[in-house]
Amino acid sequence: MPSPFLLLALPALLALFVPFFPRKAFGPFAAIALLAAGGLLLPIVAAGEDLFFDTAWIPQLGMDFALRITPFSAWFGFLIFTIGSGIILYASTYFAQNPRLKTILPCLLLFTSAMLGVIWSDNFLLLFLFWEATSLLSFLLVGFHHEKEDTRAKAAQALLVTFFGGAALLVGFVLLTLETGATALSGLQAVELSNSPLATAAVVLIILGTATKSAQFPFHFWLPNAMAGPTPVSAFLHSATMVKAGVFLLASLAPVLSAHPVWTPTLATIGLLTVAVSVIRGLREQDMKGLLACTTLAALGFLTLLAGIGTPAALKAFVIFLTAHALYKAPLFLSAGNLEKAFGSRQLPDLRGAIAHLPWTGAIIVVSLASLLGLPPFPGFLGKEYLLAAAWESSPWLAVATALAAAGALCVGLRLLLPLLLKRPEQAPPLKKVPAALSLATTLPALAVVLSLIAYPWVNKSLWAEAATSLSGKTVSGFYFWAGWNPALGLGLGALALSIAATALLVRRRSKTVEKSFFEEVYDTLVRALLLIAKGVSRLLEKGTLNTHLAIMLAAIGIVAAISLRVTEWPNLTANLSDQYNIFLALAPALAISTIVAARAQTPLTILVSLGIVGLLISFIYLWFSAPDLALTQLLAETLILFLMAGVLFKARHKARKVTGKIWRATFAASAGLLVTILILKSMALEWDHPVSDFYLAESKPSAFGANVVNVILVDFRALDTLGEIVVLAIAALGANAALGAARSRAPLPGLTASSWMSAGLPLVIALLVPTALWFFWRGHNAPGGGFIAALLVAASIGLGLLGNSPALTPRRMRNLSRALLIGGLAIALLSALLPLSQGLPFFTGLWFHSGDFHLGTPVLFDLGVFLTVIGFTMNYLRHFHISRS
Amino acid sequence: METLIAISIGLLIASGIYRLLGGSKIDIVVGLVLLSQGANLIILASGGLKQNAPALISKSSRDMADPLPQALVLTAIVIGFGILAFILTLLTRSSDS
Repeated sequence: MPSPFLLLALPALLALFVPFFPRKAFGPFAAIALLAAGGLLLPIVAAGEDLFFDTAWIPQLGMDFALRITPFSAWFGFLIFTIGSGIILYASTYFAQNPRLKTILPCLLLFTSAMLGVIWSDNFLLLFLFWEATSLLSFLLVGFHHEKEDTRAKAAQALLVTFFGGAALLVGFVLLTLETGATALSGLQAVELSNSPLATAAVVLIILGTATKSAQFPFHFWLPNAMAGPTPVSAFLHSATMVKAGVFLLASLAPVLSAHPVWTPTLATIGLLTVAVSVIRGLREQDMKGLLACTTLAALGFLTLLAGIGTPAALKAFVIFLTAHALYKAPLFLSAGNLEKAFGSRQLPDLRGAIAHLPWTGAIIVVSLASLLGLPPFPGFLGKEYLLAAAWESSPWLAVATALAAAGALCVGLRLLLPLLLKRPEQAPPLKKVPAALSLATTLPALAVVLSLIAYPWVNKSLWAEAATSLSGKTVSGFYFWAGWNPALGLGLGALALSIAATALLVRRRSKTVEKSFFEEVYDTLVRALLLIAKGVSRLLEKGTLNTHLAIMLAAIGIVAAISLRVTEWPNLTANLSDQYNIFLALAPALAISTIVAARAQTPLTILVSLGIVGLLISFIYLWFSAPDLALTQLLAETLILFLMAGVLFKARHKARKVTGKIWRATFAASAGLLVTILILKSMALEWDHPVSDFYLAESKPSAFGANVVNVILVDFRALDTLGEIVVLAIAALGANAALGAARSRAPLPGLTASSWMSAGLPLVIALLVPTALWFFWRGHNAPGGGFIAALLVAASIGLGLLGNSPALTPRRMRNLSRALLIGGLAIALLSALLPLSQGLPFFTGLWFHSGDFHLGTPVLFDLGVFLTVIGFTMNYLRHFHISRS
Repeated sequence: METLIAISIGLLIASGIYRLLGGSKIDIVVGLVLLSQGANLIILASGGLKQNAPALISKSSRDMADPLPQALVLTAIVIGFGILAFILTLLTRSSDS
């Protein structure tokens, strides 16, 4: 038999099929598939064994893809699949006319998979991932009608609250792992939780995370607001998924965490408070979905209370309460959708007499509400009785409080039921027909209730008992409607009587409007404050001018660098370099002067000359410090830079601007320069190992057959980086083409007309330069030179040709040639990387041909690719800047 | 000697930043050139500077110049050249429109 864990992926896989199905066919197809999947889980429940699946994912983080299916989570999975099946069927009819049907169905299916992931994850971090996925998908689902601003705000509220809780949960999990060493739920079983601050923090954060997810006090406000989502979404979120994730996790952790003194009091308090606020709101609510949301809140409160008590009896009650709630809540929500279709409204006064006029939906509502009200022989009765029994076992006072809370919750249920039973007013608008598929889909979860009652002996013994045994850790024989005269029965009857009496008293009172809860106001204020702060910070930092913006960023970098300076001690400079006969002593003042001139230069000529001198002096510095390749590259790049800049600067109309803020600019720049100076002094004083450089030096000759290590690094050891670099150059060339378009006519630089001697002499110079370039290219592997340098030389000769108005360099030829060089160069470079693959060797392995001292290999081919690409790149820019556009 | 190099680099960086903060388009081009010259020297200097060290491998060569910072700087020079060319493109484009 294939692994049951594959069922986790089933809904997500179904989502892939949505685009390929006709609109009407997908709903039934997916519903049947989900129903079948649910059926496959029942044998796992009945078997009563835990199933494990474990595969390493990120072992360094203790993050395995570890799943576990216990009989309880298999039963929960069954509920999700069954209800999900009804929801998909319902949604595909409900949204039949909506063009976004094919958006919401995949969302619902993915959500189903994510929820299964939450209940079946064993590893904490994996659970967290699925947890966040349900938050994100519920945001998309609740915000389905995103054209309404109100809906967007409410969806965002649900997202923010649950994400806030998700973050708390993650930290809680990490602390729990630190405290206990367990990275998975199954690893917690043997753990005795201590009373340390770390354990307390973990417990508090986990409670915070689950309370937000399950909409517990004081985060309860987001759930009624999430009613902004369409009906099938509310039905799914409220019955088997999303809000159940929180209480599910609480119940799973309860056997271990309930030993902590914080656990039971906190959860019992917030659970009962949640019931209380749900009753207060429920007694005012007029909207049927809003009322149902309040009953969900109450049920979640009771489930939290049970997880908080955490005894085997409480967890046993948890199983049946959760089951009963899931099975009555989904049909109730779907029925609300049916009533809305039929009556055109969800307001209670408009729905009067609904049950008599829509017998099928009416019957489902009556059965489901009877279960909600805890009447026998429905599962809701079992839920209520076992809840009260577990509370009584924990403390009689708690049981009384629970019974009072239950009475309040029952009032809300009765408040929903009564108007539906009344006679429909004469002048009411006519009813619309409810599509049969909607009724069928509504029946599906309700049918599960009926079937479970018909097959009660088997369901009770083989499914519920096994699920409860696995969750509570104590053998459970089953759930019984008659457990003798006991306090729970008395409390249950008392609560029912109290609620009927209260309803009779309250029924005459006019309903008030629902006000925003205090905690929602707090939330709104916090969000508003956050936005204000963000706006303030943005306004402070973004003045709308580039230089202010730049200064702030540079200052931030500078502060970080300055802080790092404090950490290390002042360097003890040992002079490695001798001061004697040092050409640098002469170079440095020249460099300083030209740098300062460049910093202040305003006219194009001063800029070009000063920058040229700076570049030239720096190439001297490279040469002086034993870097001949750098000196050559710098010299040539400098020439070409001047060439390109001349093409732009002399043409641009240079407006003399009034320079402002010179003093603060100078101060800022000077402090940056000082900081850099200190950093360099410190770094130069360090003694460090060069394992990488040593490797390159040792291996360059024997394995790459090159004496010029710099070139060998570029074309062999780190050829992949160089490939990336020439790709960037090619992209930059394309960017210029896109920005500047095609060049049409050409004109010489203003003021630079070719003199006759120049025209005559240039071909000779070019004729000398190109062979020189080829010679540089060829010797590059063993002496200063190589593809970059050779390419810059060729480019320089082309530049000279342009200066001399060489007739050979027509715009069309320049364009075609640069394009061919860019493409050809990249292709050759890539070919040299791919060739070794044909020999079964890794990417970029050098293949060599030897003949005595002569070595020819793919790195040379790669260098050729670099050579051609760089020529193509430079040519492309030369043609743009030196050929004017008409 | 080391101090002199560090000061030269600091001066290049300071001039580059001064220019960049000027705010006009040409200021940005010139500032970028100065800044990248300074950055290249920082890379070379932080790898340890050597005078008169052999740059190529031969039978007698010992205590060679560190090739790794040099390879990095070589790449940086070419990329800097590419960036400058592209910025000049944008400059041309914006002065056209």
